[in-house]
Amino acid sequence: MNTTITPVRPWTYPREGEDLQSIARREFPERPLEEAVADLQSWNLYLVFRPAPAMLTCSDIVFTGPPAA
Amino acid sequence: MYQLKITNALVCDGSGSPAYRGDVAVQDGKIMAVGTRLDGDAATVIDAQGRALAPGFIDSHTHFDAQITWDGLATPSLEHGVTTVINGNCSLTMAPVRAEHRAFVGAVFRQIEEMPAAAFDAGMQWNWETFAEYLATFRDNLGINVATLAGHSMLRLWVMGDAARERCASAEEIEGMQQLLRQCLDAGAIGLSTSWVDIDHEHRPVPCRLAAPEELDALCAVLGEYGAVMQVVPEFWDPDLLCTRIDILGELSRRHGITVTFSPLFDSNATPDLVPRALDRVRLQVANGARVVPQMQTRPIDVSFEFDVPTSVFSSRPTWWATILKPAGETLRDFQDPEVRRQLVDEAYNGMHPIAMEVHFPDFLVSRCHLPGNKALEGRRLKDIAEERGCDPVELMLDLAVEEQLRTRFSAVSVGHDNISRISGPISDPLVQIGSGDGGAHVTRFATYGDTGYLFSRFVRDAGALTLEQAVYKLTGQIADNWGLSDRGRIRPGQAADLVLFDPERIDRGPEIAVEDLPGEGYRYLRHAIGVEQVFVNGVTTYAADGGYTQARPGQLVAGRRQVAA
Repeated sequence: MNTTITPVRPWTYPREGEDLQSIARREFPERPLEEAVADLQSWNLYLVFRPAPAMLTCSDIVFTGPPAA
Repeated sequence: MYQLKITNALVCDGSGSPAYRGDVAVQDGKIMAVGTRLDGDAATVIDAQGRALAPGFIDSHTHFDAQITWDGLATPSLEHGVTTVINGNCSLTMAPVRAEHRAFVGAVFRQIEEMPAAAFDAGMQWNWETFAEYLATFRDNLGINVATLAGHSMLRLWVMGDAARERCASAEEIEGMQQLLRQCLDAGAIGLSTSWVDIDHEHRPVPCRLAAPEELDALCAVLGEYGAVMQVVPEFWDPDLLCTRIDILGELSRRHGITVTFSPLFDSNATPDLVPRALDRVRLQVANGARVVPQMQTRPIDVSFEFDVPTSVFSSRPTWWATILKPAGETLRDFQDPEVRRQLVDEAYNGMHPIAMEVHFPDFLVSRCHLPGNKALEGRRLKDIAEERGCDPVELMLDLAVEEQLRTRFSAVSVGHDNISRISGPISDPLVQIGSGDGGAHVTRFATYGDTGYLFSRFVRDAGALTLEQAVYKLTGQIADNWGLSDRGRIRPGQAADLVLFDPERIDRGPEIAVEDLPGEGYRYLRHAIGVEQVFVNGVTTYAADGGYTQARPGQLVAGRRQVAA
């Protein structure tokens, strides 16, 4: 990323086989898992409500921070 | 002696410069001379009588990949003044595809592009595997110019087999995809298409969505070798997601020196700040050296549907979605089950809108009925019929669907991208390219043709958002520049003689009609052109308002910065 451009929100790509739980462990190792997963869910409703049988893919964007106030 | 001379035309040369009265001479498929008054005889002289003469329009987002194999004119795009279509968008192409994947690719194409299976099966004489073989099947039968992208999902399937639907690629597989992409580009592909959005016929992500970031980066490196373009479908309904994708595209563009274009840039009442935010992000990326091009369609979204095929209108309402995904018999039973009906009605009024659309069930039109006794309902709104009958509009829709065995066709009209005053600014923005028309796709849901005429009628004549010359530039020179079509898009000596003669006071799209002209059984929606007088492809008339389509097949395969091998 160009250093002069700040992302609109912090985010990460899922690694192969990851779900929101493993992303929560990776991104928020110091936080209680349940709480971190809940935050990830609330910041990524498009993934949570993705109609089955769609799945998390390595090209998805997972926001790791809330929307701007 | 010229082959053709068009005199007394209002020449809009595709540069955006002021139009002028002049003549254009053509020889051997090329524009030979342009001037206010050209001397010299011609085999054919056409007096334009002051009508506008523009470079042939370029439609950069189409899905004629299947249709072009049986319809070399890409009807009805040609009659709307389109002389070049760019196929293979959204990661989906008809090549390269191994024989064992034809059934899968066909099913995905029919699902995403909403083409009747009978038409697809009857029309497609699928006897190719490689990209070069695919192009060879129709290159001699073209009445329109065709440029084709290589689909990322197809590259994955070819290299990884069925694992393309399941996992990330290995380093060796990524190298295999790079090599395959080079073969496609050498054969004449104009670039690569991919998607972060589309799902297949089993509602799973299309193969390209399983790609890890390093895979897309490696493929963009190949595009950089060739100066080729990448097209992508991002999450166009969510401002934060879209802006983040624009950043990713900007980084890929800078790193590999490529043009990346995304489609659609879509306005919706659900997210009225999306387009301004996305454009600000594009400006930021462009200011930092990226070439990121948003494509915006001109027309609002209308969706027609029956309940025997799942449609995205219902994807955000879980009970509706679950019910219409079932086999027809079970859907019919559910539509009559009191408890399910209660949930359906509740969701119809209180459910989330689908992405980027505002759906109001009572405003749905009954657009086609099968039982003679119901024919009088065609063209009427559910709420008007329900009011007469003293019932609920959603209950009425369910009753009609059950009575007609799910074959009743309903229409949701202007459910998104319909606010002309809000769209006028972005559509005239120099960074925004006209596109996303989807010609050849969604043929059983809505007409994807005539966006060119709609640009002139709504945004030039009605809204005054663009001048005639600016609108022509946005349909010609700008797209040619973005896609590296160096010999198209302008009326200048040496350019291909793709030309459209039209009445600037009349040009428009006609009404949407259902036409049964597909191979095998099946209908599609289309619109005929209004005000387009004559269309020339490589100097040859292929359409005239007073005679329709001609038998000529002067169309060519069009490559980008590298020419198609002869």
